[in-house]
Amino acid sequence: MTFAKKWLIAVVVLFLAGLFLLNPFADEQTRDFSEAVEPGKAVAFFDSNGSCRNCNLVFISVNVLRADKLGAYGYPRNVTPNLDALAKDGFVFENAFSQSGWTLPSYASLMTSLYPHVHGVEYRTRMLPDSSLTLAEILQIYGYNTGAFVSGNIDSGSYHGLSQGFEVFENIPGRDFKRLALKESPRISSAKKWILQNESFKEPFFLFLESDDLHCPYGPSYPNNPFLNESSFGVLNSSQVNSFCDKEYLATNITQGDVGVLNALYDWRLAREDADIGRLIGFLDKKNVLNRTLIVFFSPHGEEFYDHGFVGPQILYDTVLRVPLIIRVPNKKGGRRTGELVQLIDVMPTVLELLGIPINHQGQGKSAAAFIRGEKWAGNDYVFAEQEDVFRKSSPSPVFKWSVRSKNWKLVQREGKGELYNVQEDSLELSDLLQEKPKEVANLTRVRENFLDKTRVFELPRQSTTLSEEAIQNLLAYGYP
Amino acid sequence: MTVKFKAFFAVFTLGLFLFGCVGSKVVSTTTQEGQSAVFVGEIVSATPVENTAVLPLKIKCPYCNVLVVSFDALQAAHVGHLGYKKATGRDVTPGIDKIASDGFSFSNAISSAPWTVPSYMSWFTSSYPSQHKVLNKFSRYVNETDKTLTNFKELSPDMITMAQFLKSDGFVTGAFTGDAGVSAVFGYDAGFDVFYDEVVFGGLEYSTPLALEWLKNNSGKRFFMFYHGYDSHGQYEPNYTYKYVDFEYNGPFNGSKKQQRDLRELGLKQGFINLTYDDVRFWRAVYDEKINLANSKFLTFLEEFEKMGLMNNTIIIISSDHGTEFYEHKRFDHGFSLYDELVHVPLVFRVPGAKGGGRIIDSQVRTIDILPTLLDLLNIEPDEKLASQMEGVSLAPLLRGEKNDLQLTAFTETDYRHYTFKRGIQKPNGWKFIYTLEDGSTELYNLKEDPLEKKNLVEEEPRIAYELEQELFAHLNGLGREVYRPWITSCVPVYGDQCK
Repeated sequence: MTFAKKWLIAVVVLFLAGLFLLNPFADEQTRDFSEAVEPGKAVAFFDSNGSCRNCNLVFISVNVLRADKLGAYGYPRNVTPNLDALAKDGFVFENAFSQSGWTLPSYASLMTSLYPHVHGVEYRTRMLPDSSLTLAEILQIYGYNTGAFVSGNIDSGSYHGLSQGFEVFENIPGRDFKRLALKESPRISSAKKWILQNESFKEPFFLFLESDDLHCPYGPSYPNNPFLNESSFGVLNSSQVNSFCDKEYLATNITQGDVGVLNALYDWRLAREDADIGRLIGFLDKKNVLNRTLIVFFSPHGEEFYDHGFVGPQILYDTVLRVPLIIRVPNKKGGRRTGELVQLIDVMPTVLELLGIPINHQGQGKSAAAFIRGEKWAGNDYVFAEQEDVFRKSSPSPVFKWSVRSKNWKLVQREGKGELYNVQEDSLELSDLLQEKPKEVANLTRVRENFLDKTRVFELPRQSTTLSEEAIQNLLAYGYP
Repeated sequence: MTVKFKAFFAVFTLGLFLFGCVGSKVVSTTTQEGQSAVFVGEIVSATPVENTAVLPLKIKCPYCNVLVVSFDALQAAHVGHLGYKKATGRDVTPGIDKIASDGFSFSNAISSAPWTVPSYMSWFTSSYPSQHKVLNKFSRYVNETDKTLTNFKELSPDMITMAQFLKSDGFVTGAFTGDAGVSAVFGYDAGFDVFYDEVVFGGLEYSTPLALEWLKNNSGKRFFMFYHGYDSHGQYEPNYTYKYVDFEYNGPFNGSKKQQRDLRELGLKQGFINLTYDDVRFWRAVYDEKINLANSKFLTFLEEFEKMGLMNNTIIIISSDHGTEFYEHKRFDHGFSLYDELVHVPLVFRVPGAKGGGRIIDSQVRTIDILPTLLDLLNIEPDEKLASQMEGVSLAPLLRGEKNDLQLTAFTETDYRHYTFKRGIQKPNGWKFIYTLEDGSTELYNLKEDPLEKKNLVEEEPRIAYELEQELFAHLNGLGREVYRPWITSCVPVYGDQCK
């Protein structure tokens, strides 16, 4: 063999090895999560009371995720193979609704099982009072180790008292999309380390993982985005897309092609989230933790993609309020779905009941544990959402919004003006029937009044907080309203 | 050491001593309980009994009359046979002790409420205050159209009382009361042929002659009598001899009802009062005199009662609606808290033919258990309506010695004026949890280790506190009343003049 040939072979080998090592998709197979329970090692995870005592609890939240973006919720594009597998294994709530159109009140509701006007974290200068009882605090009472690895988004909790009950509450920024887009998010790596540490404690854990990587701007655009057809760009160019949160674009005449581009960018980011979730669940499986862990996947709110002429959350249409909710329980044949109405405040009583812990009486949600156990169960007749101005300065806020929705009808009130939609026939809420259906309007108005009358008595004492002017400026720069 | 602290320490020590004595009594009675097989119960059986030794003894008195006696505001800790006599050498309750020595006494009986208006209605209906709704002493001028009085008949038209049910079963029914909280105005007269409530905060000197006269007039008829006096209540004031003030007292008090009331109001206003060790000793001595006077009147009544030949065919039940506070938690009087000095009451049963022999039963029981126990002893089946209404259980298995403990959970409530709204739960294992609705504050006590309820363990035992809170609210949510917001009532009192 000549010297040159040897070199050539060496180069080829190195190149192939490099390819293998650098292959960005190497770690991204879809996983089969069906548990490999070793014979003789199987444990009855649901005891005679139908609960999973001392099971771990993992909350996975992908912020800004519309329910209809998941294959499991009917999205035609194959973006979320791992989440779809989770759905196949778990219990899918097809009609799960957030209690607010933006992150902070929604998370506060989820963690306390209280409506926004009850917990009071309705805008950024309010925080959850110490007198509130959070899910993490209850789990701590029951000996759980509690850890949160969140995006560091200003609304993800650390600035507003949502860290109550967490021994570890770390803000970890998302991926660097320019360089390491295909690698595991640093948040997942931290969570894995924490889980291993917990395993040595032999106590159950509650892990809250939160990602904000889907938040606009959806760029930078990755050159190998398989969902992106650059020829479809309309008025936007790729550099504009990179900063696409700015309000000035709302006025421009964006084309369907542009909307397609925005969706492609969002979908590509969602695929990265999905891969992370696959990695995490695979890790839990490999470490023999999955078979005693409850997993709850959800989003605090969805997103508008020009469905009503703009992008972003902050409104109370189903595009924003209808969120994914998937619960996976160990050793329980899943794959069941329900179209019953549930709310994110129902998550807390559901998991408490599944873990065999008494449900706290102040909570306003309704447990869906019976559905998971395969027993007779009905969801909510109505779901509610409400939203204040995030930086409310005047009282009462002129932009206060609320909505009440049954299976068929939805009444939205914003800026003193009502809108009524037949959500069965008009799921995008485009055709306002307020004038045509006074009876439905009257009924839903009464439902909202009764709701307020029943829930107001629980209102927690209000606790204020201040955000520095710098923080506010940073937020505005980030594209937050 | 400051004077304040000295006083506190002294009272604390006295309290510990008293409770220690109750505890020792409890221990000593355990041996008596071991002899339970000795007592002879009446055997109700259609089949001829050949060998009583192998058959379960059934205490029943199916043809008995019923006498329900209440010494209003009598703290269990001041009852002789429950340990007070041994602790202090004072023989203040000879009347109650006499009945108990022939019968059975419950050393851990819990009232549903710490004041009169709601408490007795829980006896009479075997339901919680939130269910019978006789919760306050205010007329409910909520709006122009709703002027409903706090009245059982108006608020709970579908409920049935002990008197109503026994009357429908053929009893003649008579109540001889001291009015005020147990006045007919609140609906307490329901089911009574005769209901005497002429003297506000009247003592047994009023009830006794009328009760005896009524018994004579109804001679031969099967009767149910409620015999009640405010003698030991703070708003009853006899001509004191101060016979139990066995030390030189130089403090400012004389034991008048005005002073009692002023101390209560000051405690409510400030959240605490300041009393010296001697002040508390003085007030307890005065209280003893009132309890003792009541017992003398009761003994007079009993003498006549015996002469009428009623002892052998009458079930006698003695209890109290609530206790009273003598500075145990730095306040005075009752109604405003759910501590044991207010909800722990005596409960004595005497059943003809069943020789209790003074057996003391330590199992935690509730005054809502009086009605179902009584019906069981009378061998009367409650109708469907009453059966579904009753929240209590029959204590007969304890009387029969079949069981030592029924593992009963006690729930307590108070809607006191417009001042406080509290809910409590007491478990048979000694854990007690109190929730105050107006501010959401919580208290947890371990009565086994801390009978004076001094150390709030909410922080130290969060899981017990959490679970008791959930159990309490599961109970409250099942009572059919709005749990989280108090009733809006007017400030127009039915009696007395306080509101806030």
